Amino acid sequence: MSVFKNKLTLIGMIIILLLLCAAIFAPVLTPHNPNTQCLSQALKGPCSDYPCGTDEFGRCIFSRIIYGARVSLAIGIAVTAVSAAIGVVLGMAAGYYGRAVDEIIMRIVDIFLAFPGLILALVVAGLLGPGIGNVMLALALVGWMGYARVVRGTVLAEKEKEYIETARSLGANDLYIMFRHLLPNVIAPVIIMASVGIGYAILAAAGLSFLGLGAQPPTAVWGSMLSDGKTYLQTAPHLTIFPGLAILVTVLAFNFLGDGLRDLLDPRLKDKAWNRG
Amino acid sequence: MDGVGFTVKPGETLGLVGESGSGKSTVARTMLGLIPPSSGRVFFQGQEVLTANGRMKKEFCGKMQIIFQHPESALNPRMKIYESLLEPMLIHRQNSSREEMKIKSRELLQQIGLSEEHLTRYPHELSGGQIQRVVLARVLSLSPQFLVADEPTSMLDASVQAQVLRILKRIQLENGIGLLFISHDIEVVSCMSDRIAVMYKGQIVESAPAEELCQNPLHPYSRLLVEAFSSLEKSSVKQVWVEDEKIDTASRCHYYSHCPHAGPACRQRPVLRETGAEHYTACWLL
Repeated sequence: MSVFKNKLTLIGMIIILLLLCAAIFAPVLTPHNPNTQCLSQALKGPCSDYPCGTDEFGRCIFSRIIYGARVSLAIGIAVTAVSAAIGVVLGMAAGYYGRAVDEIIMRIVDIFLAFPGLILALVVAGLLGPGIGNVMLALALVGWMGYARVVRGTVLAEKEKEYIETARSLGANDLYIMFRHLLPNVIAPVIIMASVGIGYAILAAAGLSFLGLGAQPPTAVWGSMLSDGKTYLQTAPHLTIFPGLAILVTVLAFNFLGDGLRDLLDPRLKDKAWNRG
Repeated sequence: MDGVGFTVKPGETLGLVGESGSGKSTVARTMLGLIPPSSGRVFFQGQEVLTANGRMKKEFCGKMQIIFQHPESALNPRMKIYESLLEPMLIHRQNSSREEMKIKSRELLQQIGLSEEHLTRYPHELSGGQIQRVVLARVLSLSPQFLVADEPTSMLDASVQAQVLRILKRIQLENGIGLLFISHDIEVVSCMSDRIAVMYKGQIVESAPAEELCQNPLHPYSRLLVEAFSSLEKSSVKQVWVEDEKIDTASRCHYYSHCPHAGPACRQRPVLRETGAEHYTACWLL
């Protein structure tokens, strides 16, 4: 259980667990309906009735942040899962088959990497039109290259090992070797990248919804809450501070988790993680 | 590598010796189709191996097996020992039920002298000698008829080496397996083999029954090898270095530049000739 010996990892895990609970039990935890407008209560600061205050329509910011966690976590996890899956499959094919396959896949990676990620996502999301599903697709399409590169590199090193040759001499086919032998041995860096990647995906999704491309109003999303609040930045800063904090804490938590997993996931490094305390 | 030809009979051990980079491992990997050869053919029980595909290929894969040099990478580090042990049977769909496979794996463990508690461990928790024994057991599970051992013990210390070699020899004799034993250590090879072939720069330069080769090596390179092993101090064979740019290196004898007896004839590549009873040497000077 060395993961609990690293305090930052532990903190990250607790925060993520809390977020997951918040997202799942949102209807129970929230004091108000996130979409109910109450104009008489508009722009109130934090008080006992509204823990984080209210926005310009008198909606409870605390409730909106809790509901926003649902969207943010869903986007983060889905985007990362899809880009990791694309990256792992393409990276493994490139590394294992080499030659022309490798050349073609890696040049495609280069082409995708030549565009700034968020701009490309913006273009894709813009072409597909606004909506959560389209934002997820756009972010997945610009996020898989890192996974492909890492997996390819690890596969290149791993496929020369003798147990791979043994499997081939036993008559195992390529798919079996890739998924039974190579995948478990290259997945550790992917999981580490993914746990950090969830944070980035949430950040990028917030960015896109800040620009008006994510979920459409009145759905509560952290990014668009920031965007809506910026008009009142001078008079009612709590409109932006609390959603901003939510994003910051979530991204940080996934980063802590990623760092901890890196130490944990390699059985050959496990003993070291034990000893470090 | 060129002009490498040999046969291994069932139950026989052919030792292949040579220095690093002489092509021993390339021979091994080519035989099993792990490296595509530029030309040449490999036969197993009269059937061509390298051009086989589909079911035929899988059948060959079961009957011809290989053991590699490095114990630390011989098993998948993320598979428990029993998973590695059962893998060949799963690939070849031999024993259908889980129960049968468990029984089989216990039998295999007994043959190589490991206990059941090792089954649930990971490879990094086992020593090099234990891993090589697991590898042996795994190879055995398909009852191969031909086995290539590519320096199976060179990474182990002397006592463990002897232990693993004994198990290998016993298993080979019990099952009548044809063994190609590759090593750079002529002492180990002479203990293990019935016949020995000496490789130098991708060519077999001498091939003879094990005893004959150790007593009476004919090729200058084999003599150097045997002498070096039998007496570390007083080697009577001198190694020389001759560099003659005028001779086309591609067509001359590979050993030309190191051979103390090199003469004009050696500018042509020699071929294996019979120089004694079952004794073949590739040297013009004999």
